[in-house]
Formats: sequence, C-alpha cells, structure tokens
Amino acid sequence: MVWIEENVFPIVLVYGVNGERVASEALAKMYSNELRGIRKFVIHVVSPIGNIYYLEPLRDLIRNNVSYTIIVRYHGDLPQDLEKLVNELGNNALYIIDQDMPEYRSILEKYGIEPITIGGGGG
Amino acid sequence: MKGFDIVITTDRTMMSNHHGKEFLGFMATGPAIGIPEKLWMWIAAPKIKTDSLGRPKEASYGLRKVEAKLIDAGFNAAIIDPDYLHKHLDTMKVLMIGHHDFFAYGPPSNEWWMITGREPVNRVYFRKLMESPAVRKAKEKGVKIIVGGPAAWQWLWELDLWRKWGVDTVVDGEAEKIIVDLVDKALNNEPLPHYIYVGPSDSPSIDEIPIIKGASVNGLVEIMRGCPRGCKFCSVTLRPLRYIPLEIIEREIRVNLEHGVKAAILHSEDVLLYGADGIKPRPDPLIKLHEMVRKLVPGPLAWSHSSLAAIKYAEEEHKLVSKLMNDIILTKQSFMGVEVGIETLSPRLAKIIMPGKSAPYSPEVWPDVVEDAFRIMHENYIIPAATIILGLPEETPEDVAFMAENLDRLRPYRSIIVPMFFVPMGVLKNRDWFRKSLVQPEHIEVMKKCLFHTLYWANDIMNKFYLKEPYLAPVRLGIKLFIKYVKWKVNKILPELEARLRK
Repeated sequence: MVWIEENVFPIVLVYGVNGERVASEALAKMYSNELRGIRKFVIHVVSPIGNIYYLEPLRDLIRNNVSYTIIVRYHGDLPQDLEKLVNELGNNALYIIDQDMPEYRSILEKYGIEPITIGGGGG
Repeated sequence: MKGFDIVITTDRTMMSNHHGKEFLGFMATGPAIGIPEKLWMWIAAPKIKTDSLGRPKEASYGLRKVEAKLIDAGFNAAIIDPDYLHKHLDTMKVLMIGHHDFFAYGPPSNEWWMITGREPVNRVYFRKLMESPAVRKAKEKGVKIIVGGPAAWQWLWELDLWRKWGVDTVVDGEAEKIIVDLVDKALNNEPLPHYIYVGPSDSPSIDEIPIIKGASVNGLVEIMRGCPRGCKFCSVTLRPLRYIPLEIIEREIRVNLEHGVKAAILHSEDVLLYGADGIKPRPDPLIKLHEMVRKLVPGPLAWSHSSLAAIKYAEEEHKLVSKLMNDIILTKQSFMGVEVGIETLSPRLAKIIMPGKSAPYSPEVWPDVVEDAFRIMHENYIIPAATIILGLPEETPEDVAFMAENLDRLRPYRSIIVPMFFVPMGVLKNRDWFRKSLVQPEHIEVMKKCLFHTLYWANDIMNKFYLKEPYLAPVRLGIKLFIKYVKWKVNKILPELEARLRK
C-alpha cells in the first residue's frame, strides 16, 4: 500500500494576518487548469500564528474542498523553519506567501524561488 | 492477556447499543430535558457489556472497520470501552477516537443546544472522556492520539481543545487506505500530519474494506458506499459507488450473530438503491439481499436510510416495497424503522438545494413524492423518522408557509418529523443571535406542526409497536414521562415564544 503522501503535489503556505487570503489563493490554484489532473495535495505551513492555531485560516480551504485529498503539515513559525522546508522541497512545490512577511520572503529569494505573493491591502 | 498497543474508543454516548433501539441514541444529541441527566443517559446510552479487558459486546460500525483493518495488518489493536482505558496504559502507544458528533456541532445536537441554551450530553461526555485521568495519563506517557469519523471537521473550530488535549492527527473521510500506514508512522514516532482529508481518489475498493471482527451496534452492516444521485455540493456522490457483495454482507451478519447480536440494520445512503439501475431501484438485487438477511437474522431488520423518491418508484413500478415488507421483512417483526429526508416541501427550494433528490421525478412534484412515499410506508408498516431543514440560505417566508400548509398532507401517516435548522458555523459561537435572528415567526408554525404530528404519532407508535419487550418497561416509562413533559412544557412556552418573535 502506498502512503497517502506519496505522489502528491506540495503547496507551501507562509502567512501571518493574511492567512485566509493565502489559503483562498491555494484553493483557487488547486482547482485551476494549471494543476488539473492532480488529486492529492500536501499543504505545508510555516506561520508565526503558531501551532495549532495556524489551522484557523485553513478552515475554508479544507471545508470547501470535496474533490481532493488534502494533508496538512505544520513546520514551525520561524524563517529558519521555512529554510529547512525549502531545502527539502526545493522548486518542486508551489509557494504562496503573505506579502507582509519580508523575512520569510527573502529566504525564498535566496533560493531562487518565486512565490505567489498575496497582498495585505488590495491584494 | 496483557493490554493492547492500539486502543480504539469513543465516549459513553456512543459506546452503547441504546437498549437495542438505535433511535433512542438520538436522545444523546440533546441535553437532559425534564429528567435528571443520569436517567437521561440511562435511557439514551446505557453502558454496554464488556469482557474483563473492556472490549465491548457491540461497538460502532466505523470503529469496528478501523479495528478490523489494523488487526488484518497484524497490529495488536482493540476497541475498548471508555471506562476500561486505564487497563491498557502500560501497553497503549496509539489511542484512536471516533465520534459522530464530537462537539455537538452537527444536527440535531446544535439545534438542541441553541434552543435550550444547554450543552448536549454528547459534547459533555466527549469532554469527560478527553479529560479523564486515563486519557490524560496516556498523553503524558507519549501516547499518540488520532481522531476521526464523520465529525472530524469539527476540530477545526475547537483549536483550543485540540491543543489542550494533545490530539496529533485528525482524519476526515474513508480511512481504510491510510489508517495502517498512519498508525505505523505513529508507532515509529515519525512526525504526523495534523489533518488528513481523504478525497474520492483515495476511497478504498471493496477488496480494501475489511470485514468486521466483532459485533456492530444492533447489527448494523454496510450494503453500499457512495450515492448515484450526483448532487454537486455533496462529497458522497463524488466517491465511487460500491455495492458490497452479498457474500461479504452475509459474513458480517454472521460475525454479529456469533457475538449474540440477533438484529440487522442495513446501512446505506439509500438502501433501495442497492444494485440499482442508476437511481431506479431494481427488484432482483433487493429481494436477494433481503431474503438472505431475513433467513439469517431472527430479530428485527431495519434500513438506515432511504430516499422518498426511491420508495415511491420501487412501489409504483415494481410493487417492491410491499413485496419486501410482506413477503420477507414482516415475517419476523411487526414494523420497520428508517430515516428519511424531506428537507423542504417547497418545490422552488427543492429545485435549488436538492435537484437530484426527487429523481426520477421532477422537483416540481416533490410534495407529491413525499406524500406518496409516506402513504406507501404507512401501508407497509415502515415507520420513518423524517427530517426537514429550516433556515436554508435561499429560503423565503413563502417557502416556509408552503411547507407549513403541506405538512398537513402528512398528518394521516405514522411517522416522526424532526425540524432542524441550517446553522452556519460562525453562528454556533453566538447562540443568542440564533434565537433572535435565525428563528423567524413563520418557522414557529412549521415547528409546531412537526411537534404535534410527532407527539400524536409517538403515542400510537409506543402503544402499538415500540419498546414492547417486557425488559424495556422502565425505558418505556421514561419515554412516556418525557413525552408528557414535552407536551406540558410546549403548551407553557409556545404563547410566550410566539409573542416574543412577533414583536
């Protein structure tokens, strides 16, 4: 039997106060043409909101999905935690980041990763 | 024998066979009303018999499937009654907890909670379980806690308790394909994901669904998974449709019989669609199924759920309901219970919220479908517990008025009709808002009609059919007292409530 996290598409979410907008973008991406055919996603989260409260902005993403397998993992609240995750996943993931998190964003830039940035004001 | 590595459990409201009358289990979705909580719990969810290790004589079917999957994979796993968890503290490494309604956010618990302002007993007893010395001690010792079941999503609204109780993983959806690996990872101390939603592509095939090892509550056995109606908002319909083969159903019934459970509840989203041609019931598979079950089971046979459209179609096209009832089911019992969903009697609203529910009939004739199905059930001694839903997002006062008027059409038919409210999650934290804003005066008329219909038929059902066994005399008395109390209370509070809403 194959473990559920094998052959999945990883999405990395980095958020603070704009968590719901970041999660909403992730859900839109999951249902987009770009990712058509993918049935399983692992949502990796780095967020200063902290363990386990980081899940609050993900409620709608989880509850509005009926089509896909979704696995949620939390990796920590610090930029170093994101760096560790980037080392593990590299460019094989979709990164979505809250624009109000420059320290975390600079980690992604350091590794040449271009994330989708979700704005605080107009978006 | 020493204890188990993997202990599967639930709280007292669910670790019960409800005196062999699963309908009494619904009382566990409300707070104690009019009688002391201890007596309420004794009626709704009496303790189940166990062996010396705490393994219950009967347990919820979902827990039985998890247990079977783990035993088949070679794990030392068992379902344990919540009062016996302490006996396994030395061996327990993983504690798995299932529930239909962990926090009473599902219907009808949330409705009881909001109307009475008091926590339903299922929530109270689940909290007691999680805060019990045995569970706290297990957590202190590093036992991994995995929770799941149809109410898994509720944990997303109880993050404080998730953190406080140290839950490691929440599993939402059909678990057969993931549970073995997940437990393996837990035993190896690998980091576990916090949440797993098992999507349709990871639904297990028939071969991957294990056969239960111990008895299920009141002999419940699954006959199919999935639903062919295709309602676009529903996750069940996206999952593959799987008819459980007769030989597997028979093996599970034999497991129940071997463990002393002489009844059977056929479980499906829509029992009459077993082996159907799309949404049209077919006589052959249903007759074979019922003949096989009736031959094996000496006690009562029940259906978990049926759609009203399937009842009408099966009878009008094939005389199938009367055939199943008269020739097979009623040969060993005097009536049969089933849950059905009316949800609305407004064709306009039916078309919006449940266009597939009336199929193969048009939503325009939904009230006729409902009445015809109720008449067919009444004539064939099927007693439905029906639900209607008030406060749906696109509901208008005209829809509700139409519903109130058309409920009179159901008055001649023996049934229980339970009104439920569609409650958005955000509202659950603000029960005053519910009372002030969600319940509209027009809803009161529907609620009154449902209540008076149910009280009228409850007396008839109690006098002629239900709880007739001599050993259930005290339960019968308790229920009768409860019905009397409800009548008294309703007459007292209704004028006041109506006046308040009309202000």
